[in-house]
Amino acid sequence: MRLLRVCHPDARFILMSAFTQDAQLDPLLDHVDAVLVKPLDLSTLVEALGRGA
Amino acid sequence: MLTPAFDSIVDRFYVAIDANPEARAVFKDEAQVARQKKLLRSWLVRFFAGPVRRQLLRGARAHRPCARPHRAPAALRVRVHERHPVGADRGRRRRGGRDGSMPVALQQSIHRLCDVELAIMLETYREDYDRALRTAERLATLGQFAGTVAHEMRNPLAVLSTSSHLLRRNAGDQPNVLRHVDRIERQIAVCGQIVDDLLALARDRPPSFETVELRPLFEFAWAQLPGHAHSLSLSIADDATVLSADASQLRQVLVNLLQNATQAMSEPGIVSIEVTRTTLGEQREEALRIRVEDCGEGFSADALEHLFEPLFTTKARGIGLGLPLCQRVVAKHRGTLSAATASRAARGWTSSCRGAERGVMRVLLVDDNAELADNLAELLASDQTQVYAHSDSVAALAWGRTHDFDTALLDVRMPLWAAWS
Repeated sequence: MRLLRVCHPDARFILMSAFTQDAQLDPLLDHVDAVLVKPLDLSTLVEALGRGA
Repeated sequence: MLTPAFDSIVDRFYVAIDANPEARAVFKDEAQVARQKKLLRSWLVRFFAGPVRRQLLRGARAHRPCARPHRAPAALRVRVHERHPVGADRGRRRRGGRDGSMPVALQQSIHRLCDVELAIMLETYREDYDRALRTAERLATLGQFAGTVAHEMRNPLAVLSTSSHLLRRNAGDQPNVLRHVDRIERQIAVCGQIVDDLLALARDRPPSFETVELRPLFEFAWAQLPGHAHSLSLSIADDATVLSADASQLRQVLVNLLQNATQAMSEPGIVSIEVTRTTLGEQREEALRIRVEDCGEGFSADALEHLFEPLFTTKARGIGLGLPLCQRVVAKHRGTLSAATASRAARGWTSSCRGAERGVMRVLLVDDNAELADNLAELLASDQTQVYAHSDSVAALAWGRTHDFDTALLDVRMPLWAAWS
């Protein structure tokens, strides 16, 4: 992910994880825009993407 | 661009290995080291050339365990990945898992290649990347408490505003009182603007794109700036009259830039806005360039360097949030915002927005569960959203290096995925 982050500093990064400890990461501290828990809630996902789908 | 650096990278890599006696013992002689160097260089060339070829990976040599901490050349400031846990299943190490996963040794080899590549990128972009990260961290930290402070300020500001209104109504024709009421209301407006900036900082909401007519938007933004004697010169190319953008966010940017322009000129002058069509990036995507120029004194070199840092300001009344917010908004429209001091003491702001113009968001979706990746791709894909789904992390990495995207939706735990550490 760091490679992609370096290549695309302006892109939004949203992480998905089935592990609750990952979901408890502070998105701000880890330079990601959101951390979503699986199974994904679609409304949360769409909100995180910032775009209706 | 990086090709000339490959030789020195390879040399440094083997100098670091040579410094360790145990690692040095792995290599028989100089001829073998030369062959290893040649192989590493060819890997670097191919790795940077584009998508990773599976044939190349299958033919990759297993990394020799050398009991040296997994660390690429120190001179390149490498952050290393964690070792994958090596289980007792030696067969899996050689052949890969029954589910088709790659052998651990191959994974480790690719990890090391990624380390080298990351090191080069970090070295190349380190300065810009560090600056962007510092700005993001400061904005994030400020945003956490800014929202609370801003909401708390709104109540007393509302009281002040209504009280000034009552004062004005009861003042009758007392010019001295009315003059002070005017001052109070101007300062309330300034505080209101600060609160709005703080709330915008805290919200950081994604843009909601719509087709925006630029001329009315510019004129509306200009009308938001009372109390000055300057005039506006507006020039919009015929093929650049509309933009797909978030109207309120774009207006916020324009008001900020125009306010800076009017405050920069001590004498009545002209603020000019020029909109032209242009292309941006290596892929030469269509974009609009919006240039705001005034006749102020221009920026100092020090100011130019720090203009977009939160809390940096050259104004007695500013708090240094306007420009970082503007930059963030423009970035969300896949554009850039830059400042320059031109000749004849003119100074200008150039904002270019692309992508948003098409209103299409490109999403890189990576999940090693292929069915989930397919489902999400199908759910998210629309006229406004293009989804590039990958279930192979190596292929996703290769694609992500060479293609542009707006949002990455990534599974955290995947093979070869260094996550965020």
